[in-house]
Amino acid sequence: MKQEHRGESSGLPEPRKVANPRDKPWYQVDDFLAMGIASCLLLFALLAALASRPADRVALHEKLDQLTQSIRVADGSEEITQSLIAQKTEIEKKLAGNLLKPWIGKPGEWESNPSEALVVKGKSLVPSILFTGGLLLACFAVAATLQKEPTARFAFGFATLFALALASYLLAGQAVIKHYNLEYALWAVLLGLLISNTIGTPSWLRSAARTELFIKTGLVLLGAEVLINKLLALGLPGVLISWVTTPIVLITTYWFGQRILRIPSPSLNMVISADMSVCGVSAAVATAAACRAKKEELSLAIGLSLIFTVVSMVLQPMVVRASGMGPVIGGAWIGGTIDSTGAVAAASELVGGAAKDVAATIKMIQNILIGVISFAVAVYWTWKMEPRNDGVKPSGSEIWRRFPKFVLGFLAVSLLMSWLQTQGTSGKAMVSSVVDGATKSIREWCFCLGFVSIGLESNFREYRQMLAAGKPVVLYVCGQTLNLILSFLMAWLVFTQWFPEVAKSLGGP
Amino acid sequence: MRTSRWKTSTFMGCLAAMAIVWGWILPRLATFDAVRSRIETNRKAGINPTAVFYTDHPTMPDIENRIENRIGPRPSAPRPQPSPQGSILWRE
Repeated sequence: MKQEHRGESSGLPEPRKVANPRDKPWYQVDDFLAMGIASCLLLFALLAALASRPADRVALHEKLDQLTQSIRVADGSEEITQSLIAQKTEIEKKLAGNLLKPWIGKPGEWESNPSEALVVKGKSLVPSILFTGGLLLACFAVAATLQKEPTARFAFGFATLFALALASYLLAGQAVIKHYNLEYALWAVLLGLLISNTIGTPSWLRSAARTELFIKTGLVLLGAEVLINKLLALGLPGVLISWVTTPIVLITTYWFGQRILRIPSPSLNMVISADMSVCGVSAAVATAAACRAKKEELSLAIGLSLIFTVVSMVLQPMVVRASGMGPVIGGAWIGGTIDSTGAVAAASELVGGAAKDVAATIKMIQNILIGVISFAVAVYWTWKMEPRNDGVKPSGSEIWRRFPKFVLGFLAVSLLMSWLQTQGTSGKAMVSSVVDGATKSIREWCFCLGFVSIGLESNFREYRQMLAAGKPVVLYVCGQTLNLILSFLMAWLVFTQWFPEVAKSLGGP
Repeated sequence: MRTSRWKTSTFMGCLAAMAIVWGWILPRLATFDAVRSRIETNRKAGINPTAVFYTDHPTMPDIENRIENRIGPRPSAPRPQPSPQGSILWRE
């Protein structure tokens, strides 16, 4: 993400400066540092997963295979099947233990006293939060030292940044805030903005606010959760709803923003289009990094997404119930249109029946799309949108120089973990152990640190300029309207015309 | 130009407002029936509404297993069962 200010007159893409990695050695470039840090953390988590394998794992794997067979042949009551599924999930959890899990933590939920968030099931989370902070400090301090930043100064700034990230989690953990889906990203940006726009961000804190490094490290770690084989979780119906409708909405919204609304910043247009059509915050972060959007553009897109998500998670279940759409079509509609997974689950729970399972699965398949989308956006931006040298088409080496390399790290991790996931029950357990046991929480901390840094480096004036004439809001509303219509049409076609038998087996009419 | 005193006052004012909202207003709001019912529904169903990605959602493995059971192949079309011993990283 860049900090340069751009003109806003023509409505056409403005020439933009590209940070020249040739100016500094590769080991000082954020992309390579992010890939290095994420690789070390993944390796650490993999080794911990290997060391955590239970002694009776062979017996557990055999039992898991038996249970899978029993569930498949069970023609008994739904109750028996559900009990077998619960047993299967329990064994999968046992196999996916990780030594690191008790040491990687973040605050939980609280209602009236924030200290409730630091205790889960009678156990204090403070040691795990401190360990996580220490681990991240060690990783990022190495990066800062390589980038010629005084280590002690960086460490002091990072400790303050981590405390602000912790405060963001506490603000987001209050029960009312949490259950209305106002995620930590919003509070992290707002806390940073509060400091930068009142007392000002001190230079020692600014030097630790490495937005790009934190976000890119988080994105490479996110690659471990983008498992391609999940794409087929719902068979062809899931692919049609998630992978056909979503790109159409994304491209149409982007085109609408550029040609009709004439939004001056193509990167703002792209980030809003991606976060509205794909999966909210994670898609916004991935595309913003891929198209080098400004920090304020990313936080504006996330703010829009969170506000509209709160509205959608209240209104859409009411529409589903009032229209008699049914749990399968209604669930698919909610899953395809509400931005974040948590909000999708909460909204579809209000519909009842099979809606939650269908909605969450559709959202999961859509989540996987961010790998493809971020790669496509990075290629398109490098090839088409970056400035050309006096109108001359850039050479292959020039394109390679401009390409955001962290995207390759993200894809490599995604492919590696997807392959591992296909290696039988043991591979699946290994992936769960790495992701659930360690990298998922570290990725969230990286994003939270990135969002606080965005706030600390931003100015309210920037947001006023971007929101001029309300174009980003109009873009979001128009794009989401198209998304709502197309997703409903596709869900209706898929589950009533093309695959009614799938709808029936999912619990439909 | 705004003075540093004005800036510090604004900062302290915002912190005080946050303390009131999070320390007093929101805890009381959580006791309202409509809000309470939403919170309890989510808790009972194991839903984390702030889950950003599917892996953040605690009951996702259950959901995946249920969906696999509902639309997965029946015994007439069995799938190959990979053995744990066949795995490269998990060889016993």
